Amino acid sequence: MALDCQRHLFSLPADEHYINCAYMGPLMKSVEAAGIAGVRRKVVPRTIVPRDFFTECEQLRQRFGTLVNASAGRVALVPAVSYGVAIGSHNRKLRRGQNVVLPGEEFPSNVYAWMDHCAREGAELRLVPRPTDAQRVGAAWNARLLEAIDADTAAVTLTAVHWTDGTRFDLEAIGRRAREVGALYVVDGTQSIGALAFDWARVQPDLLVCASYKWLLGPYQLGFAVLGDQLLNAAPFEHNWINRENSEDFAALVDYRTGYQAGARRFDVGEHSNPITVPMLLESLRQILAWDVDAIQVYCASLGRVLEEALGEHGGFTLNPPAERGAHLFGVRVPHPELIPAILAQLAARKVFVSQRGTSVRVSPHVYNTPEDMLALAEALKAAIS
Amino acid sequence: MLSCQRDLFSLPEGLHYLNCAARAPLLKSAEAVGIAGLQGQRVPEPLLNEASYRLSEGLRTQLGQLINAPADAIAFAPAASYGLAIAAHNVPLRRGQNAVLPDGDFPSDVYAWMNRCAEAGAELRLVPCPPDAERPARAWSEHLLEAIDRHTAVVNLSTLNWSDGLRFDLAAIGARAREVGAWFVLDGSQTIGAAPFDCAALQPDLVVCVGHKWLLGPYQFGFVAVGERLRAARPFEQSWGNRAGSEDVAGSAYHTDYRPGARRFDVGEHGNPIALPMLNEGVQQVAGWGASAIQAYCAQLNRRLEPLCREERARMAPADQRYEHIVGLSLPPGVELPRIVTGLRARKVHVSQRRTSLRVSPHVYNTPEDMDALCDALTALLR
Repeated sequence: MALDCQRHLFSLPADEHYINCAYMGPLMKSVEAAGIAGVRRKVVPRTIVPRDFFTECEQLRQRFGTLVNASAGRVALVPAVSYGVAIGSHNRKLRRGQNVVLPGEEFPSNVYAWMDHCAREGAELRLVPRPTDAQRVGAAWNARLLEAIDADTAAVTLTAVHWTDGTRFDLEAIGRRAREVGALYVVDGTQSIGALAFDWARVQPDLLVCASYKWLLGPYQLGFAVLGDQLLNAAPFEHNWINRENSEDFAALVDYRTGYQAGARRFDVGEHSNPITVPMLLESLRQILAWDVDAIQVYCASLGRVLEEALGEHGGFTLNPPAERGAHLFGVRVPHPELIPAILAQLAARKVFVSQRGTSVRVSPHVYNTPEDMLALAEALKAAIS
Repeated sequence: MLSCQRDLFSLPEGLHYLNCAARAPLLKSAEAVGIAGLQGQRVPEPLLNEASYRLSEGLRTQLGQLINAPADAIAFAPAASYGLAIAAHNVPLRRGQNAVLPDGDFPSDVYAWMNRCAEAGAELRLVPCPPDAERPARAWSEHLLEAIDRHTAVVNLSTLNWSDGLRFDLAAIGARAREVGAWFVLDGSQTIGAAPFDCAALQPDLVVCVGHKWLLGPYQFGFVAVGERLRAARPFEQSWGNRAGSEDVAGSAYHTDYRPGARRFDVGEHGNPIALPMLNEGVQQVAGWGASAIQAYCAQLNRRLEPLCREERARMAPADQRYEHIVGLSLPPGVELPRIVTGLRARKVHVSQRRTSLRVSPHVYNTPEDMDALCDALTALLR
């Protein structure tokens, strides 16, 4: 079923062209309502019973698990990508001579954990730069990533689509290669999950992390980490009372326990049962599952075609070919990258909102965008460089 | 003397909410800024804009003032466990050493060291509350002092006993910890905001504090004050926003230096447009009232419990052994606490059971009538 424009579910002003979901998703009306109800829950703190701490969080695990085809028991609730990635970096020992492979210009929170780790252990942070000499950048980048993984690779980490320009990585092939050499495989799904299909069972990462405030259209400071078998029994770096076994029994909380709650729950961030953000995220995930992720890609692809046609050959704007980019996230390369800040300012004056990331104008549409938004973007881009 | 501040809250008439130690009710003003922050996301605003930077830095300053610490010491943390982990990851602990804590302390405090001790082969030295009806807090503090020896690597405790409000002699315990070269870690979640707390005087290496209790803030957003010895330690998560130069979101350079002070320990995505302004509102309000005034107000309320104790329906520690905002009532032997808590709820009196205490935690929105309702209901239930 093809999706129609879903703008009516959001509160975007009629004259704004917000094509920047890769920066932050706008708030759905229903998510706003869930959030306000959540804020008001604390007006009179309800009788706090153990159920309140657990039930909604379990639903959240279920829903995200459904979205990525993983069991709910693998899902932990974390505040940010950096927190999720740390679960991996803290539990992968590095030795001098080993290396960690990741694409160049990778999202910093996914780099810093490994950068520090490598520096301390004398391991190599092997950043594989975006090819500048290839006709088909996506194919070449994937090939070079695979080549960079060798017997000394201790970890491979990457975003499912590159956050600056939407280049799609071949997650299954890279994962196979990582497993072959025994490397820990970490995927940051923040820029794709919710808008692009992700299949845990096929990709088989050791760790998948995902923030919610972009393509999950959820709140800030509550996201997910999904753990493979290798990390499920690893040590959490924070020890909250609620992550221990039998924490449902509030009267027995000082019968200190050594065991944890089942599955990935030991990695939940402290105070994760947040009465504001958990219901917001439950609602946004419900809506995304109802839309269907493949339908979102199809919808965004139709918007991308509108943009490409409108840009034509004009001004030397180039995009990755559709097969090599996310339909929901792609970079428009401009003839003179140094002009991008000035171009963005002119776009903003026309109420067209996109981002600069690296040397790209990053365009990231969603189901609230219209063909008119893309035409406005094309017009504004052409005007900006004329 | 403070007058009752109930009109700043939305507590319904007839509800006797004496349970701030579990979770504070929301200020009307905090509700308003929370909703405004949420609605600000209808069309996303830049995250690291000047207004949000001013807000988070202003809050750091406010929190610092509340505990007499510099703004540079403050980091935002989602929970006590998160802040305690900063200490647990960085305090050296060897076989043969020990970590001293009060037995029955809040579990996140204990768990922070339980694993570390087990890994290191160190002793987790939990010091139980000695039976002493007249001076329980003094006696417990003395036992804690005796438990600290030259093998003690860390002393970690809540500023008061979370189940009954007994106040530890923090100055003496801190001095003893320093004497033996132990690290000194405090959990102020049940004190800061409601009672005076002075970092400069106590010199802790780390203080954690949740936001949703005595700071009248939201859930999952509190802070940690990091002492100078720990400020250069390595955070366990590496968030892009904690690096110097991270304001330039369009740039793709990686930065090796952290932002100054304790900011390196800020939890990822701490620039939370809902929670930050809510906590700010709560902190401004408690600072405006003043911790001493809150204690005095609660002391007035607690006088209403005296007849109950005179008639021996309940016992509580002498006033000099405890704080006024958390009072543990011990009921006669054989009384089942869960039955009492449920019975009180049915009469719209909200308190908690913690261990063997009925924990009563009043605040400035409570009235003498709330305390009378508690006494009447208890009397009826104990009959």
